[in-house]
Amino acid sequence: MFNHKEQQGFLTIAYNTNGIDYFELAYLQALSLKRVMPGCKTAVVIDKSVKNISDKVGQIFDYIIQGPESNWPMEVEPELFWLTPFKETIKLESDIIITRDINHWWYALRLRNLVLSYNCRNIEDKIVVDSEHRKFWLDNDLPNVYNGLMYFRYSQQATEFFLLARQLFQNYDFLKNHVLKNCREEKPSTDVIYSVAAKIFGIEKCTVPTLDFFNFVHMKPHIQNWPTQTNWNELVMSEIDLPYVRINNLNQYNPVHYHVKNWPTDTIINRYEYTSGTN
Amino acid sequence: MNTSKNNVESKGIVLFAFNTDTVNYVEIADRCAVLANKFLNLPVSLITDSHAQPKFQYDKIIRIQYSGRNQRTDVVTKKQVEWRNFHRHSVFDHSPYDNTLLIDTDYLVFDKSLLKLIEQNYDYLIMGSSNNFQDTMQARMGNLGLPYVWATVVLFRKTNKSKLFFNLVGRIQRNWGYYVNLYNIDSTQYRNDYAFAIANIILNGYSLESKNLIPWKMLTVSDEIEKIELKDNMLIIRTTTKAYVVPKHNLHVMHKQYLSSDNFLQLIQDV
Repeated sequence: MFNHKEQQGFLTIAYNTNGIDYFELAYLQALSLKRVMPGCKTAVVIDKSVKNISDKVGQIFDYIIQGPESNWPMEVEPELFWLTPFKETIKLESDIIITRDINHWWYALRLRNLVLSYNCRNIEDKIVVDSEHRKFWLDNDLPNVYNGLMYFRYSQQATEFFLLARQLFQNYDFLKNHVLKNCREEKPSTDVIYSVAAKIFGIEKCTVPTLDFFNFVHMKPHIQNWPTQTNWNELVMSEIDLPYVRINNLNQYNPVHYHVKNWPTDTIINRYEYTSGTN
Repeated sequence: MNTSKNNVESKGIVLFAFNTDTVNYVEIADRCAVLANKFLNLPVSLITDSHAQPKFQYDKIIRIQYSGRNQRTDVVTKKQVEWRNFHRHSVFDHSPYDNTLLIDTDYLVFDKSLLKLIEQNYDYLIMGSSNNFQDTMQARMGNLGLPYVWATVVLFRKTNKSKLFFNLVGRIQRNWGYYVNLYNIDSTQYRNDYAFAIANIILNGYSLESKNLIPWKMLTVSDEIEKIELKDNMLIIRTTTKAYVVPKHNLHVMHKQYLSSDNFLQLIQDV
């Protein structure tokens, strides 16, 4: 069951799939976390797809945890609650980097046993309510939560939530065909499952919309009001000015969900390694 | 903040005017100066070239060597016309005042609102945004670009931060081709509005958050104007197709031919 080693820390999941090295993205995330919060604890949950972890990469994580095997890694997400080595966890998707010290978040997040991030931001630091591409959420009256960033702590309430999420993953076909309107996703996504779970569990118990800083900059082009056919990194400049990432000439002070998996080039990773002294 | 040696801050207005083949900007500056001086009661200085023959009794006339070529699209004729808009950044060095109000010659002062600003604590302030009657005022430098500001109205004191700001504007002007690409600017024509916006973004830590913006919007009239009348503290702006009635307040008028017309001269006498 639970195997807590630390009070608090940052957790991500990295199951490599279809040529995408999620573990490398998780590594960059851990570098970014240690760059701005040197004392923070980081953990990653991996599966057998992650092999030959070098000492350099291994030492940036405080914990590397073997997760259950799955041909649909998203369904492993609820299990993170039981796998985390932290009593309090901020869970991030692996393609998010952190650009400033966010330790103060812990004090605010402790208002709840579980906090899902709500809405997202554009690079101009404006909150974006994505009503066009999240029409499904509106149709089903679901909260606009983003699974990319969440907080949970060892508690009865969080246990209930993740048991519920696990159950929804297991019964997705029924959910898709008999409960949700216009649900066209063949396989369950965490964004859908967690928003349904939040609805059933009680939105008021798992979101704090007034904590409007607890969200990330989403680099999907429609969030930025940019042409949607092209990856954002082909549209605008980005540069690393550590600890910041500058996108379209604006420093990003919020977590950046860069989304395009080939954005972290070796050059970018080397810059982080160089400043953290790991290369 | 720097003040002059006797600790009394000198304040004044500075205008730039370089005549082109199509527009007598110096004449427009003379007219703008009458209005600005009347409502703000501040000395007005002109930065111009050696050929200009201004009529207004300026506090100082600063003559510089104009260099550079640029064009703009005339808002009425839609033709490309010469645009002598370089050197704006040099106002920091040329202004004779500790605290300067820099305005474009097509910015018509009809009230004292800028006097409230000039007493505030700032290094520099720029007009952040503008309305027009059609609500179609472009607000970004390009489809992928960032919001721009209006260099039409700028206030600054001679502080280190202001010096950095104007030096940066100068660097942006000199390397305009580079910044056009970097900032995804749709047009290659140099615009002070864009250069000032970029400098402000950089100086604010590559952020759009800025304390250097004037806390109200400017009204820009981009239509072809036939006449502006003053009646009961209202301005009646008659264009070729419409008439707009607005409270008497400062206007940014893009129609240069109107500003050179007898109708405008009549308005100045009526005010």
